[in-house]
Amino acid sequence: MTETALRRILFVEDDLDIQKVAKLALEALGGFSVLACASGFEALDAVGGFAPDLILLDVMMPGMDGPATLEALRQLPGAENIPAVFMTARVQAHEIAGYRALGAVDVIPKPFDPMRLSETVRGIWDTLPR
Amino acid sequence: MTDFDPETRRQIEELRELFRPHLAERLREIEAAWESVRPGGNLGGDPDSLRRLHRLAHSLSGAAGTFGYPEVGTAARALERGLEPWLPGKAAEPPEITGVVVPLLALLAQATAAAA
Repeated sequence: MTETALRRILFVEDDLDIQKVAKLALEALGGFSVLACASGFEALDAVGGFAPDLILLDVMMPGMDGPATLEALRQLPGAENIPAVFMTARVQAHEIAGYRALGAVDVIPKPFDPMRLSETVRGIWDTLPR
Repeated sequence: MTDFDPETRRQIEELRELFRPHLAERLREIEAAWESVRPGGNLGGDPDSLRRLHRLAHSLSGAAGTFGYPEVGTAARALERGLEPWLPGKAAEPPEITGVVVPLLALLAQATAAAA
């Protein structure tokens, strides 16, 4: 179980409609501070300054997809161990196993219910070992 | 705050309403992408357009479901899945793509019209 509070979330999502509704839900319902990035490249630029507790990553993005973004983030000083959660419609058992093998701590299925997203994220956070 | 916070629910409903016209816009984008994929009813060796079409269908499937338009999401997901045998790098050698995509596009257009 985590002892540290979850406060700051870096959210990487190229779909601006989803970005908007998820950010609203995470901030208003979860009380989190959320920095939304529209691409993996933006996330790589932002992660150092924002210092998130958790990273939420879309899987299928143009240019640099979620797995490639996570791999690149892991090379950055300070970002090596930030827990990352993929958000994707691909949630068959073998696909989830693949995301975990890439270093994700969990997967949130898409589509998601905005009213439940904060609760889901907090639930994942609470299961993380410290 | 709880997840039943009425102000947040109102804001999310507002976003949902703002998203509704995006359904038709996104359908138009998908139809335009399909036009660029199928010169004369075949792929014409354009993997980038095909990837884009697949990505647009994928994106709509996730967004439509999240914003409360599950029928559109399901139809977009069917299109996304229907395109996958043709994606670059796939081993399958399926028959004519048009026969698969056109009916799926029609279903998507129908679902989108119903949601509008």
